[in-house]
Amino acid sequence: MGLVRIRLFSIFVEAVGASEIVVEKTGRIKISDIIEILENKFPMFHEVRKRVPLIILLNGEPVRDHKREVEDSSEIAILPPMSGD
Amino acid sequence: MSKNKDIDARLISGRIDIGRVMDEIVKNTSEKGSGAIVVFMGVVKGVVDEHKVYSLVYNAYEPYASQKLWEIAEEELRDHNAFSAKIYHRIGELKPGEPTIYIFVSAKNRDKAFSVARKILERVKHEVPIFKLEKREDGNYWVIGDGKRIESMKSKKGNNKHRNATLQGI
Repeated sequence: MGLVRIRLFSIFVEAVGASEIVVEKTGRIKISDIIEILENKFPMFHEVRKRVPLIILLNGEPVRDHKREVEDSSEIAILPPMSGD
Repeated sequence: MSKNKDIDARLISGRIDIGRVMDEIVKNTSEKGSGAIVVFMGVVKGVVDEHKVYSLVYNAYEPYASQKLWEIAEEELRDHNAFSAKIYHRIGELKPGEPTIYIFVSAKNRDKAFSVARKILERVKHEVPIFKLEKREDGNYWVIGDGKRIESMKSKKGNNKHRNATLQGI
């Protein structure tokens, strides 16, 4: 069993009520599975997602393929479009 | 990150001394043929959509925000043969009129210096994981991407405290 850390930012922190969630992973898991879990567990996350595009970083790198598998000890960040400056 | 004195890029919590940075850039780049230095400084707006702004709260996803700032400065300097590129982005809660970002570019001429500074600014806006919450007289708004605003749920519900959580056995 491995751990996967999910970091949330901006409006997604409010949607989930947490800035960080640790997932105990018992088998193979894809990014799309994690998004589905968040949507099922946190109705507000589902609502916000309808209005805000989701950007996913896996260990700091943008990921477009949500079918990608997540390794143990990975960090997934869930962000809205960035708004620096 | 290297000790190249022509590149600097980082998150900062306070203001910087623009004159000191300029002097340093002039000292390091004039003999290389620099003919122009452009400085861009963003500031917190005092009014948005006709509503008074109290403050803008910046937070960043570290260490990736700092790494991306450095990467942008390094790439733009290299790709456009500029002589110096420096980016300093503020984080924390800033009041109207306070600087949010400083970009310095030294290049051969004004066209190149302006265009590289512009490119850096656009890349910072779209590529660096930095987020902002605008606190206004009519509520708090998350700024999403290029200017889209979504009202904070805390504006409506009062203070829900954020927490960390564990989801078991997924």
